[in-house]
Parts: sequence; C-alpha cells; structure tokens
Amino acid sequence: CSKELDVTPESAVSPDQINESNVGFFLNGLYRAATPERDNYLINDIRGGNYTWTPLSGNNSAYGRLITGNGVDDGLSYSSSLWKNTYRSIYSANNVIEACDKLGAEGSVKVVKAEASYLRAYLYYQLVTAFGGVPVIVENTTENLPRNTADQVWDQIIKDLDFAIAEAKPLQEATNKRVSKEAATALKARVLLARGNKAEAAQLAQSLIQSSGLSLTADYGSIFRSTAASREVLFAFSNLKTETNLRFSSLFWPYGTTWAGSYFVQPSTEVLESLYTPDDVRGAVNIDTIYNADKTYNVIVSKYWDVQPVIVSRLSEMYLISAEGLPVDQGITYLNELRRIRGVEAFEATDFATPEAYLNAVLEERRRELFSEGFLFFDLVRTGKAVELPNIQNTSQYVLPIPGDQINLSNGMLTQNEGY
Amino acid sequence: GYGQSAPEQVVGVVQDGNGDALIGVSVLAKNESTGHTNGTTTDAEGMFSFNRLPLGGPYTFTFRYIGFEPHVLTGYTIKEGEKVSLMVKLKTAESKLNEVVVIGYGQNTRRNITTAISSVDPTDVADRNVPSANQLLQGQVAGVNLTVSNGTPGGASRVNIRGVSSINGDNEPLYVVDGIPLSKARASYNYTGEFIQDPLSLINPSDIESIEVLKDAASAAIYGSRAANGVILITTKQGRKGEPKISVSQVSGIQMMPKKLNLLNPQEYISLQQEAVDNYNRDMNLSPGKSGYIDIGKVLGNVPADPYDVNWQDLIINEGAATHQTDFSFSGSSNTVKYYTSVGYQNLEGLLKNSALERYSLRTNLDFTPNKVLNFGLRFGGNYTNSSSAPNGDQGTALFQRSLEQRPYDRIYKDDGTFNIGGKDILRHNGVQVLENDQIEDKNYQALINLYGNVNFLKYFTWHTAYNAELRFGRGFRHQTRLHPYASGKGLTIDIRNNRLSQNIDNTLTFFKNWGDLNTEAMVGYTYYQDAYDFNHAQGTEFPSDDFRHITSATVTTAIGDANKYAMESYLGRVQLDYKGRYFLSSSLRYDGSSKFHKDNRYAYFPSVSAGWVFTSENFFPTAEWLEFGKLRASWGKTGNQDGIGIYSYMPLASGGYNYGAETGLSVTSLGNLDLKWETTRQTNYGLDLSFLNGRLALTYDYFIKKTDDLLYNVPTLATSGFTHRTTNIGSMENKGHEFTLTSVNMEKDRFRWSTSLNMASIRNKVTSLIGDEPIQVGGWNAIIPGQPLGVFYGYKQLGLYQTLEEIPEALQKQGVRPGDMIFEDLDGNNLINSADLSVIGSAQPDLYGGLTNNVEIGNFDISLFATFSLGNEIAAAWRSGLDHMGGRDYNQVRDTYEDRWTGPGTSNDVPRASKSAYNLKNSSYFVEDASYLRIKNLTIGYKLPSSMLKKLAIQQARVYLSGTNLLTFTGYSGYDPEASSSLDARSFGIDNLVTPQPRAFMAGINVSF
Repeated sequence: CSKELDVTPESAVSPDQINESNVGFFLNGLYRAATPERDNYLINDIRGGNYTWTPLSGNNSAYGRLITGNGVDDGLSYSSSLWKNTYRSIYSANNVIEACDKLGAEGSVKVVKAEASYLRAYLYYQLVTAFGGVPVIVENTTENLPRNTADQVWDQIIKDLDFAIAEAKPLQEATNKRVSKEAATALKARVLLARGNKAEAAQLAQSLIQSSGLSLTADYGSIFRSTAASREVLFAFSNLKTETNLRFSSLFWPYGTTWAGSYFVQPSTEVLESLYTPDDVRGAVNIDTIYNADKTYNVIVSKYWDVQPVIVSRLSEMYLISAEGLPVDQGITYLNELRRIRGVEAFEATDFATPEAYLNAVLEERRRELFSEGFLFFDLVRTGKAVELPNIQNTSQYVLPIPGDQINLSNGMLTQNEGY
Repeated sequence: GYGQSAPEQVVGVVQDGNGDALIGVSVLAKNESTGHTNGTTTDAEGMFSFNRLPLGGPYTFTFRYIGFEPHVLTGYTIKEGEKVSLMVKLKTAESKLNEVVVIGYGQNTRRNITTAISSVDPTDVADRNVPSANQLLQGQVAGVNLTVSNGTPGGASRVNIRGVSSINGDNEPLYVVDGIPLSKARASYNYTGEFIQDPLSLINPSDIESIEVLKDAASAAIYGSRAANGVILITTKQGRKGEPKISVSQVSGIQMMPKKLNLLNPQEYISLQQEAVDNYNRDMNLSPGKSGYIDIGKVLGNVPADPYDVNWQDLIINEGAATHQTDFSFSGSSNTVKYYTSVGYQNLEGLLKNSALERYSLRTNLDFTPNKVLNFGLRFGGNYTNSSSAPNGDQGTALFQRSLEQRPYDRIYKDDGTFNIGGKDILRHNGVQVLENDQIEDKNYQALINLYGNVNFLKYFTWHTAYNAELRFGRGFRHQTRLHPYASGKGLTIDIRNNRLSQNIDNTLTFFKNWGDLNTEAMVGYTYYQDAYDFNHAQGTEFPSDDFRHITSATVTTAIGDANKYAMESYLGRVQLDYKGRYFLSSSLRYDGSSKFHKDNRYAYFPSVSAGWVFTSENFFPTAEWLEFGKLRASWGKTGNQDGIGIYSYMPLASGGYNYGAETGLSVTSLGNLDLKWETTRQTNYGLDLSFLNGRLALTYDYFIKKTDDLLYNVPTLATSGFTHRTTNIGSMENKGHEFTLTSVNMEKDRFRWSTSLNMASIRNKVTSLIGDEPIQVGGWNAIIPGQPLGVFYGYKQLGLYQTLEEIPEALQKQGVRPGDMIFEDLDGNNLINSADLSVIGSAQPDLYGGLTNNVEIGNFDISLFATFSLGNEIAAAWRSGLDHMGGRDYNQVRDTYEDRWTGPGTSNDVPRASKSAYNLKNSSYFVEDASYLRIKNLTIGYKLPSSMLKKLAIQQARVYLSGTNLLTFTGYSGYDPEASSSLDARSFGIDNLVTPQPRAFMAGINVSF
C-alpha cells in the first residue's frame, strides 16, 4: 500500500493547530461569520410594521407572511437561517474562547477572548429575542441538548459582556470595526433594558454619552454612508465588498435605479403617513421617492446605499436608552437633545400625562431614529405592545417557530414554541 | 452429380468462416438490366444451383443467412453453355451471440458471457443526432433509465443503471472511453438554474464504435471502487480491413416547442384577482386602512387603458431553433497499421433564445501490429465546446417561470422603447430584458489520450500497459450589464477558469491456454488513478459602463483559487474458465484504496463470481430447431463507491477565505469523520438467454437484488453542533428488479425485412435503514425515509376541499381557512397543519420503463420507429405553485384549473377557491402529478441510393434520410415535458421548475462514403 494515497489539502489545516500566533486569524473568521445576514438583521423591522410587501415579493413571500402574520409555520425560512447561521457562528466563538483558555488567556490572548465573548453574547441576543430560550452552548458539542430558559440565555449574555467590558480594548484603540469596552457596555445597556433593569441600563448609556468621546452628528446620513469615520458609531461589522459584501440596499431599491436590488419590501403606509415630519432630517435619508419615466413613482426605503458596514451600536441608541431608563424629568433631556439635532421640536415634560405616554413617545422616537436597524419589533415585545400589531394574535407569537427540521432531528428533545 | 435434366448455369457452395457448410442460406439472383429475380437455398452440403436464369446480365447474387452478414457478388453474365462457379464464405459478425463484447480489462463473446452486460451498436441509432453520446442509450438497454431532464443543448441527462444505489447526488455510472475513466465533473461552470453540461457532450457520438453497459456487480467489480452505479464502456472506431474509406455525413434540422401552456387573458386575470382579494379581506376581517388589508389596486398595478394580451411565452422562445452536424472521417488498414481519423462539427441551438452549443471534435486512432509479439497504439480525441445558456429553472430570473408569471397586460417596452423594468414597471423580471442583459458562456477544451502496448510472450502470456489521461480546461464567463436585475445597477462579471488532469496507469498480465476442452484465462493487474484539479474564480462589479465586460475594469469582490487532488490505487485479478463452450465460470477480485478515507479505512476488497451453463449444448437436451440456444447465468459481486463526497471529508479542517476588515481570517469548516469508510453494494443476478428459430427471436431476462450498505451521505445534523451537515455512513438501500429484452426478426423476404426490439425493466427501490430512522428532509419537496424509495415527494396530503364552514376546525378558521380551501391530512390530529403532518405524496421513480424499436427495410428504403415509455413516475410540478395559485400570488394563472376552481359547495373537491391566503400554496399532493408517458422518440425514413447510380460517381454508398425526434408524447402531465426535472440528484429528482422541454425536431441528413 503506497504513500500515494496520503493526500492533504493545500488551503486548510487541522483545527487543533490553533496557537497564540494564529488565534487572531480565527477571531477574524469569527467576526466574518458573525456579521448578520441582511434579512436576519432587518427582521424586527419586517415584523414590527415598518414595511409592507411589494408586488415583486407578494403577500405570500417569506416577507409577506411575516408582515401579515398569515402562514408563519415551522417551515419558515427565516427561522431556519437565523437558527443555523447563529449556531454556526457560536461554534466559531466557542472555538476561539476555548483556544484562549487553553493558551492561558493572558495579554493579547485575553483581548481576543474578550472580543469573542462579546460576539457570542451578540449572537445569543439574536437567538433569545427571536426564539426565547434556546440551548446555551459555551463548549462545543455534538450532543442533543434541550432548550434552556430565556433567563439562562440572558444570564450567559451578561456574563460574556461583563468579561468583554473588563478586558476588551478601549474604543479609541479598537476602532469601531472591532469590539471595544464601549461596544460591550452599549450592548449591555440594551440587554439590561430588555431585562427591565432600566436604571442600570440608563446608567451605562449615560456613561458612554459622557466618556466614549463620541457625539451626535447633525448629518444623519453620514452615519450610514461613512460609518468608519462616523462620530456616532460604537461598533459596526465592516462588511467589505471583498468580504461579506452584504448589500442591504438590495432589499429596498427597485431594478433600474442607482442601487438596484430586489425591491422585496417598501415602507408601510403607517411609516409614510405619520413617522416623519417634514423638518425631520431622518425622513429624507430613510425614505425616498423615485419617479419613473411614465410619471408613476415608487416610494422606497433609501437608508442603505450599496455596501455599508453593519451597525450594531451607535450613540443615538444610548440617548434613547437614557431617555427610556430615566424618569421622565431626567430622560426628556436626552430625548430632546436627540430630537433637536434631527431637526424636530423638543418636548416638554408636561406634554405627557402619564409615564405610558412618555414611553410611547420614546418608542416612537426609537422607531424614527433606528428605522431599518433591526429594533422595532423587539422594542414592542419588551414593552408588551407588540400584541397590538395586526400580524400578532397573541403573545406566544412574539417568538418565531423553532425550525421544524431541527425539532425532528432532535427527536423531540427540542420543544416547539407554543402555537406553531 | 448435378443436372441430369437441365444444364446448370450457376453452382456454388456457402461456408462459414471455419469452412463448414451453411445449410438453408437464401441466395437471390437478380438481373440488374431486366430486374428479373430468382431465388434458392443451400442444401445439406451448403450447395446451391440455378438452371433457369434468362441469359444476359449483369447478374447480382445476394446471400443472406440469419446470424451472418449479408454478402453480395456482382457483375456476372450468364451465357449459353457456360457454367459459373461461386464460392462464398459468410462472416459471422452480425449474430448477437458471436458478437465481441468489451468487458473490463478484456473482451469476450456474447455466447460466453456469464454476467449482465448489454451492448448498444451506435449505428442502430445514429440518425437520432443526439447531442450527448450517453443519450444513445435511451430506451435501448433494459434496466438503464436515461432521463433527459431538460432540453438545453448539451444538457446533462440522468443515467441510472438498475435503480439508484447511492443517496449522494452521484448516482451516475462510471464512463470509460477507450480505457480512460472520465471525470464525472460537470462541464459547465456557470450556474444558470438548469444548464448542466454533460461531460459526455464533449465527445462526438459519430466516433463511437460500441457501447457496453456493465450492469451487474460481477461484470463491474473489475472496476470495483467506482462501479457501484454500473460502468459504461465506450470504444471508439478503428480502421477496418480493406481499401481506405472516406465518409462524409451532414444533418440539419429545426427544433420547436413541443407544447405551450394556456394562461388567462387580462379580463380573466383581473376578475380572478378581484375574487381572491375580496375573499381574503372578508375572511381576515380586513377593511380599507387596516394594516394587512389587500388593495386590489396595488395587486393589479397599472392596468393599461387597453389591456391587450401579451404572450410572454413566445417572446423568449427561439422558435425554429437550428441544428447542424457535419462529420468527416478517413479510415483503413494495412498489414501493420489500422487508422481512423475524423473531424466533426455540431451546432445546436436551444429553445430558449441565446442558448446554443457548438462542438468541434477531432479524433485519430492508430493501432500498430508490427509483429506477432508486439502491438501498440495511440488513441487521441481533442474536443472543444462553446456553449451559451439562458437562466431558467430555479433561478430568480428564470425565463419560463417568470415570463409566464407576468400579468397578461404587462408589456416589454415602454412607449419610448426602453424596457419596462421588472418589479418597478411590470410585475416580474422582464425576460426579454434579462436575455439581453445576461451573457453566459461556458467553454471546454478536452483531450482524451490512450496510449497502450501489448507484448505476447511465452506463447500463453500477454503483458498490457496503458497510460490514460483526460485533460480538461474549462472556462465559465458571465456578464450582467448594468440593467440586469442582479447587477446592483453596476454590472457584474464572473470569470471562472479551471484545469483538470485525471490520469491512470493500467498494467495487466493475462495468461490464456486451451487444455483440450477447457479454456482458461487468468489476469492480474495494478492500476493507479489520480485526479488533480485547480481553479480560479474572480467576480467583479462597478463597471464604468456597459462597454466594459472584463474583470480588469471592475471592482473585484471575489478572487479565490485553490487546488485539490485525490488518488486511488487498485490491485485486481480475474480467472475465466470455459469447458466445452457449455460450462462457464468467472471470478474476479479487486483491492482498492482511496485517499478520501482515513488510513485505517482506506482499503477494501471487491470480489465477484459468476457462472453460466449452456443447457442446449447438453447431450440430453433434445435438439430442437425452434430453440437454438439457451443459457442460464448467475452472478454475485461486491462493488464500492466513494464518489459524491468531499475529497477531504474525513479530515477536520480549518480553512482560509474568512477575511475580516481586510485582515486574513480562518474558520473551522469541517469536523471531519475519521470513521468514514467505503459504501459497498452487493448484487446478485440471475439471467436467462434464449435464442429461437435460428436467432430470429432472442430473449434475455435478468432478475437482480442489489443491496447497498454504509451509504455515504452528508447527513443533516443538529445545528447546535455548529454544523448543519456531516458526511457519514448512514444506512442501507435495496434495489430489486426484473429486466426483459426481446429482439425479433418478424419478417424476412428478399427485399423486405422487419425487426422489432423491446426492452423493459421494473425496479423497486427502497431505503432499508437509516441511522436514527427519522425522515431526512431534502429541500422543500423531498425526504429520505426508511421503507420508502429514495427521494420520495414529502408534503401535505390533500384529502379534498372543505365544502362548508362547519367542517373546518376552529384553529384553522382562525387562520382564515374557509370553504373551498384544501383539506390537508392532519396526521397528529392537533387541528393544525405543520411539519408533523408531512407525509409521502409520490415518487419520481417509475414502476416500469423501457423502449421499443421497429426497423423495416423495403428495398432501398429503411424505416425506423423508436418509442420510449415510463409508467408510474410522478412529478412535483413546483412551477404550478407560481402559476396555479388561484390568486394566492399576483401572477398569471393557467386556464385549465382556473375554470375548474371551487366557487361554492359541490363545485369542486380538488381545485381550491380563489384567495390571497398562502394556505393552499403549501407543498402538497395537489402539485404532484402522474407523469407516465409513451413517447414517439424518433421516426427515421432513409433511402440508399442504388449502387448502379453511385458507381459512376465513384461513391461506395450513399444514403439520405429524414428524421423526426420527440414527435408525439402521450401523457397526462400538465407541464411541458414528463421527463422534466430541475435536479439530477436522485434525492430530489422530478421537481419541475418549468425547465426547457426536449424539443420536437425535424432533420434531414445524408451519409456518403467513398
């Protein structure tokens, strides 16, 4: 038997060859893997009522079904891609973290571990908000595991974020295309708000407003169109054309236009009729009208041009978390500061008869500011308002169905969310 | 003594090649000037005579005998008182029993074969002008199911020998051309949804001398490691003894759509959508202004004032697509050299505009026999194909589906002559625009090299060495202009180049000796195979304008390249015994190693044994005129498979290509599986060969049981492991089948001959076990389930339609289900329809299939009628989900079901009502159709020009013919083509995304030899 059959690949190595000098390459691979897909990133806008379908996608497309709530079953492509892609990335995160632990997790290795921990937290955040409790896997395994409770997932997220806050590089050093202490703090503030810990969330958000060195910019569009240099962005996946090349614009722009894409969704009537006032600078950036030769026109979501970095956290969100987390009299300062720079009138505390009315105003402001950045539906879920949406009949529909094929593969170890 | 009475004018004797007298040979004398004919037959000594022929001439004598080639003697003059003596030896080539059959690493005669091997003589089917050599097999061989799954020029066919034996995508047989095992890699580099260029389309079918199909394990085991799906041996032509011969042939024709679909006109379309919208809004309690309310205005878009009907189907079809093939060959032989050289050109246009395939081929075969000790040769084929294709099938810009889905009033151009843009101005992609914006080309350069040498020594031994290589260079190029829907307004170019060199070296030593009545042959050998492949793939966008097409002018978004290699080595041996031409025994063993497995699992043994008994040669068997020959055969063998899995599947891998922020990134891409081992197939075959009435009627019957274990499969895994699939040996599968071939010369007269051949097979395929025993879903339509055939359709079973509200469970009513909606089988009885309710709703595997050929020769005319049939195969008409939605989508709708839709209790129990709901659009049995068919595949009428006329032109033979392909299809399937399948994969075969059908073609051709 000859050695002729000992053939090895020329562009791959055995994964157990991970060491201090190459663990950074695996971290880069993790950033790449963890960059959210277009439709997964935007799912909260789709479900939350920011869009409606177009003739091209139709009411029975995956978009149409999420928008109408009609025909959402366990074969939903969204569930499948979100579940599978996220766990694939979690595997990479665990792999890097395990390697760091093996290497001693000191010095530069510790920083790598901090960044990987943040990314793992971000990945679990996507799972818990979409599906509720999911199996928490922090050491890679092929075992068939049951779902953990949502609380256990949230606890793991906070644990990873705390490590990242402690050990990651500061923003100034890391730049906004990599994970920093500030990025981890911002995500933790979002998580705490979701957990109802308003005070601590606001405290973290305020600390970033004061000390991150960032500030709100008057040019709203520049946040998205020159993200790397933006003074507002805490963390964004770099999404280069030569790498992930995710073109969010393709969901919104029709063919034959500047940023031609598939045009599967368009702004909902609600967004068109009441979201932005004429002097709101965000309106013109987020929504545009394209006139055709025959005088017909299409109103489109124009926020995304071409290939742009995928923003995870930016300073405006910290203003909004402060506004929501603090009592009205303190919070309103943050709300107004944001409104002023966006060209809209400031509120008076007396405009709000109840805390509920104030909360609604903050949520409406979040919808305006963070339009098409993946927030709306979960904002309504965490504040208990999503049940009022036309596509939601009851609160069990706050979460998506677990992919049916995974339930089958688990032989029933994974249990389905109620109602699917 | 002859002629006591009348004087003999002509006397003669007819013998076979060994000088033995042939009894009952028909002898026909014909006076070419007067047309007078006279006939007789030979007697017990092989003698014949004529004594009443009119004087003069010239006379032609034609000798015919079943099992022998006809023989013609010309130019005799009958004179008063003179006697003509004739001595004729007939050649035994035509008898199927004495035909030489190429087996793996050797050859044998049909009479002596103990295994299940079928042969196809390409001259029988030459006029069919097939685009790929393997299509010559369609309907010709029992147990070979060749499905032309789409009609794109040069598109791949699915070839299954004795059912499907692997789960993996790869169920194709191994093709060996003159000893060169062809790479199974597709010859197309651009994915266009349906065009998968068959590697066999690179080879000119006109160069093929014979095709042998090794069906059972015992015949194929000698190719052990790659033979689990059967082996197809292709031998190219060599020079024949005699004068140098020049052959020229030319065939041209036109092709057209075999069928068109009937869709709604604008008025019907508008009324259907109105009905669907009204029903939906009412059921869901939606009123204007409420979110989710569907506005008919939005559904219909801009209906032109004069909503005339636009036939989108016709706009993308190349009606009257041309086909041409020209071949030239020069061949002959001297004492020491046989030579055959040919050039060929084929141009085949597709039914979709822009699709075409051009092939240039060159072949030179040289066989040298300088002396009795040594012979050697070189066989070389050089081929080039250039194809262009159009997006179709499951592509987003699929031409048939998207064009048909267009609203009937949607128009191609605006008033100013520019395109109406899909999605913006009109509903779907503008097919005419897509055709103009998407340029897709694939080029292939192929060299096939076979160098061999044989040394005969010590009387009984032959040493054989061969070097075989296939060299392929491929290039895929696709450019989408700035207006193309997917080019982001910036233009897009994909440029793929790859190289493949697969080589093998064969060394065998054969021993052959006669020990009186016992013939023995023994062979041992070693072969090494290596396949090396490398590729570059560049993709770029942001072209400055549509004047630029190449990567140089683009922003490069993807630039990757890699090289892969795998290798196999094998030791083989075979012993064949033949006692008195009555008892046969053959056994082979192959020991194979593949680099695709971990060291510990790398090697496996593939043995086989077969035996045959010619019972009609036994003394106790009564000599019966009607039963000339009878043989019983039995064989058993084991073969292996390692195709269809990744070449590094067993290794855990961390790969590059995961860069982030312009920095290099790595990622773990595979967990590997060190336990991975050979997939093995054990096959038992029982066969019976009978030949009646001097070979006028011959019958072959085979029964086989084929069991595959350790099926290799990229199994879906729990995503929580970080991976969605893992290559594993997963289970077992079984195929059992009957094969039946009947050939008959129905009538044979002087100038009239009618023969028929019929073959059919009935094969039952079943997955017998799977790890976990749970159904494995494959895509949206299929599943792999123990106890079921592979790749059954898996969906919701429609039991009927709800006729009244009371019948509908409350949970479903809440979802908007109403009378006129489908009743799906609720397997778990929870009143919800979800993936727990999926079940088997059909199978693409036929119950019975085969082919029927009739050949008639009348004088100089020949007529051939060829039909294929398939029974019990089903199709998942996925296209109907887009074109038979009853308003569920904003697309056009087929008319037949529209007219049958439910409009009130009792109006239908099958075709649902109009509604915008997605409920009736689930993948269900409603979309699964019986696709049984009988197809008149080919009718050819030929005429051989009389030799008297040709002589003056120094032409040996000339024949003209007219040929029609796919003339008629009898089927209940509502789509274009009952053979349609978007995928060639056995797991998901039979899903039709409205692929291009096989064209109906009319051709005229001429063959001339000098």
